Amino acid sequence: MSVDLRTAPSASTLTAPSPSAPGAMCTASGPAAFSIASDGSPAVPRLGVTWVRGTALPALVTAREQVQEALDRAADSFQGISGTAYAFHASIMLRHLGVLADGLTRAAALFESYADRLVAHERLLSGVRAQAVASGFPVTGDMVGTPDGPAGSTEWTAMAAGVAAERQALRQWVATHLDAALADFLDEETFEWVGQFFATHHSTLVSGALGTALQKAHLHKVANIDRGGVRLTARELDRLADDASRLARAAEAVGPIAVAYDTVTALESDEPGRGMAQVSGGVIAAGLVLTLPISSPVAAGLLATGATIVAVEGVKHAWGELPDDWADTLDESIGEGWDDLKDATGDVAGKVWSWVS
Amino acid sequence: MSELRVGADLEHQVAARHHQAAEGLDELLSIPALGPGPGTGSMLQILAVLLETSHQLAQANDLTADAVRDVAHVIRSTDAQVEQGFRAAGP
Repeated sequence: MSVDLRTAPSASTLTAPSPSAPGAMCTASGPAAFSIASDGSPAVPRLGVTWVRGTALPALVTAREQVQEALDRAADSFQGISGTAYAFHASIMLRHLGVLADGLTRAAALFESYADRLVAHERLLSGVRAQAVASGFPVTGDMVGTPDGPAGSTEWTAMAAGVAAERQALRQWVATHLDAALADFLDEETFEWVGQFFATHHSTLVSGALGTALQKAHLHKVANIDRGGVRLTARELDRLADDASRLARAAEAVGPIAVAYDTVTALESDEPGRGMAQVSGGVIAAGLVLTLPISSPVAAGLLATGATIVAVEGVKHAWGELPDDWADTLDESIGEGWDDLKDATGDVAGKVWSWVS
Repeated sequence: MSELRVGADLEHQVAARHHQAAEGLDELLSIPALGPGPGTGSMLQILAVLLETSHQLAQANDLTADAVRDVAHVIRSTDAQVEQGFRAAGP
């Protein structure tokens, strides 16, 4: 964008800057001088562009290559349902890294347009300086003083007003293009995914080959505690604590991968909507329990497990209460979405499921 | 159900790469010093959002590496325990 004060249609309609306008020096009779110093240098955003394109994006590309290599290697060295779930997890990681690369690319383009805007800003101020010199106005450093006599005062006032308007327009451009764009860079999906990954990894949300066996063993005990009808001896409590510790250790290993496994299994089932609702319900419930102020990791683990089971069972019940056409529609929509994802990711998703079946 | 197989180089080939990816992503946290200007604050905010995402993904990669190592450890430990059980029951 380029603006030339001398040819701008609105220049003749501009008024003198108010005494509080940036860059205006005032006397009792009005502004005595106005500044033609640039508000910002294009070198600043260009430094940002250089860093994004020369440092950030190459580092991100390298990180993506490493994750892709890990995924490729896992095809040989990590097989079974845990390996399958890992592959699913890693493919999601790659997608989020791709979104981040897209964000950095857009940021570089935005900073570049900001640099272009500052070039136009500097060009306009240079034009004002040249005009002031040509008109015989006193120019000292970056200040343009008032003419000695009445001659030229109209032109001087218009120039001062034009500079003030340009500064206002630049601030408006920043608000419109930079400030307003901030929300577009917030990747809430990635934050949510990472948050769930962390919550799951540190919870006792278990399923899959190892987790299911341990979960069944504890379901009975947790249910009894919930009913409050069982008086546990000290020995039983110790055993429960030991079992819970084993459960927690196992869950740390299989938790995140088990959720990914559950997700793949749910999406490939005849009722993907119901399956995904159960997976989501369990993850959310476990995550909520982990936010409770419970000092004992064993107690927190038991509560998280119980909450997960209750949530999953609750979702099963709630799903059964849905009208058939609602449930069918959700199943179809989610199933089609999963098929689309597989089509989009091609080899990765196909390879993932081929390992299971 | 597919065959369960954990290669001997799982940690080196898979987990190590996730750790390397995490290190690379966290290197982005050192951004250049930007001079003053009307849009500098906005630029820094945008970069901060992107770098926070990068940092989150770095942590997720670290955790993924740990999870892979944990799975390998649990499976190998279980394998060893089963082997000991058979040996103990043997002649």
